Amino acid sequence: MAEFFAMDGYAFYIWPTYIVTLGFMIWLVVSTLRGLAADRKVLAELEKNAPHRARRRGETASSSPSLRGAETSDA
Amino acid sequence: MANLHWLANPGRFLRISNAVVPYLAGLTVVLLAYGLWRGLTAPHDATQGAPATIMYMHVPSAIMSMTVYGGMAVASAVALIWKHPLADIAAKSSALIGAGFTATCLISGSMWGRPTWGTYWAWDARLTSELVLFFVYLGYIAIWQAIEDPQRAGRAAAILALAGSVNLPIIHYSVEWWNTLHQPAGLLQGKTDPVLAVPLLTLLAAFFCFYVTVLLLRMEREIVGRKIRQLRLLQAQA
Repeated sequence: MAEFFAMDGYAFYIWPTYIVTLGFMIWLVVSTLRGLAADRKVLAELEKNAPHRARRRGETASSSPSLRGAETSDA
Repeated sequence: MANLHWLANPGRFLRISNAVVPYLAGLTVVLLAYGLWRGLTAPHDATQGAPATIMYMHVPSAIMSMTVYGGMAVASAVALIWKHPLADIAAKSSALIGAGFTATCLISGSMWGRPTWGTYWAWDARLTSELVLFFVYLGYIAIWQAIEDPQRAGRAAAILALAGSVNLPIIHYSVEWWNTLHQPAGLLQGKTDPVLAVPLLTLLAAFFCFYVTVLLLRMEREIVGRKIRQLRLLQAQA
């Protein structure tokens, strides 16, 4: 096991590469999901404050509920 | 009226995207785990030894840095010509993913170069053109951040993305056109032994699935963000 991690003495070059690359991928997923969750919350809040606008145009149930708010803005 | 057209598609897009993302994410994890396991337990490369293990991160990063840019350039062209709103959102959402892969390509290349070439960096055709790609990505991201109106920002960014695409063939052929330290590509020409090629191709597939998964999530975030913007504008007018 120790031999595996030593990588013939090149551990200094190899493991940081893996940590940086895989770390970037994990960071990107986490930050995207967190940002998406936060933005969804803001949108839900905004739509709650202007519910009459969302209903006025009688959007069909087939469209995502989170989309209704924006659709009214075309009116 | 342009917005009506915009809205017709994102609803459908979000439904399809939300259905596909969990499977794509699962596939990414499986491919990544299998590729890493096979790659790290494979015998070391005959001539380069252990440092060649870096290739499992470097080659997929490098290929993805160009693939993502290619996708971004095509999406930008579609956005400019047909004004397709999802194309604009797709291009914008790709940029950070591509910039990240370009950075990991440069860093992993540097870490590979030191033990094999004796230097972290050389102003060599392949390395320099890849660095230019990184700067083009940064410029693209900067345009989106600098211009507040999404329509104007989108057009300026799309033009930059298209102009920057001349760099793609330069990166690709740099190892043939110029004398360079960088070895030519062998993976897709079948010159790589299956013991190394199988984990490499698996990881390439994993990185690609990762890109599509994150792209779909970032596109959804962008759609939500634009709705927030529209609602706020509407409330400000009221």
